[in-house]
Amino acid sequence: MNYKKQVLDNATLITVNLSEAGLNQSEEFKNFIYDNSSASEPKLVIDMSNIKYMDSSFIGALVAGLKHVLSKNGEMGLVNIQDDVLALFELTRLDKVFKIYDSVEDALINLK
Amino acid sequence: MVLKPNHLSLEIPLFINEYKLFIESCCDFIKDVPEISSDFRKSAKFKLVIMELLTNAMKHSKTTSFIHVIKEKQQLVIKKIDYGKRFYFKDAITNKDYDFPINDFRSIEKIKASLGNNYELHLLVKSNCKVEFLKEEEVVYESVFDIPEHFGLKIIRQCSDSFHYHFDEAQNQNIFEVIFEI
Repeated sequence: MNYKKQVLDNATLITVNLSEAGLNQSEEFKNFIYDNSSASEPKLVIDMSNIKYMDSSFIGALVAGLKHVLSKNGEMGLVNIQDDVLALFELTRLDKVFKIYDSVEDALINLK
Repeated sequence: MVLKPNHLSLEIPLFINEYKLFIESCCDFIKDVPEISSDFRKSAKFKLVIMELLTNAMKHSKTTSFIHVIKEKQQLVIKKIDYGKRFYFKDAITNKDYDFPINDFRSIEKIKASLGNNYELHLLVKSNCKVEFLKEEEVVYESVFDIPEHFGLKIIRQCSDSFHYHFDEAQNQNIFEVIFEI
């Protein structure tokens, strides 16, 4: 299973079980986020600790997911991003768009 | 895989299960280029370029492609070559279509290219068969909903010192060329 979902008290934690997140998984991942943010005001925390390599198509899926969550007045936070992957967010300036936290606990405290 | 002392050539299949093998082969090849291999930020950029060229090949080429990594005196050159669909875009301002070779090319011009769905890039059209991707200035999105969902070419440009697309008419080849100064 590439994605694991855990329902917490005030948020849904999605763990991405991929070391390489690329074109082959991006559409499936986008649909997974859509499926798990169908309620109103969804709150998603995405644990990216396993991802070693990520490409633009997967970041595109994250952007699509964020748009979907925000359109439902929800929130989305990304946690445990490895350095190489974080470089991708910085290059695309999406580090200013996404809420990025060091840990799941941090995200749960900070997401309203 | 073809390996000459200063030239690595890798065939990219139509479908890639794992990027790791390609990325590690390319990283191994540039081990003795310390300007990149021993600099964390530069090696991260090098890996991102390889990954984006692989994704680009799978997404757009629809045919077998090749990645060449060439060590030169002052530069590391990466080329993705294929015989597939040519690069295509519109002028975001005039809506003019650009296909290669460009029929009515007159002089070098800078344009804002639209690739659809809010995906825009600044290009320098250098000849009827060559464009340079220009480094993007800080982009401020007014709303999250204005953010594109495609970033591949932009990432390659942001990572590298220069990035060109060249259509080789004689060979019917698409050549994406990325340069790192060393």
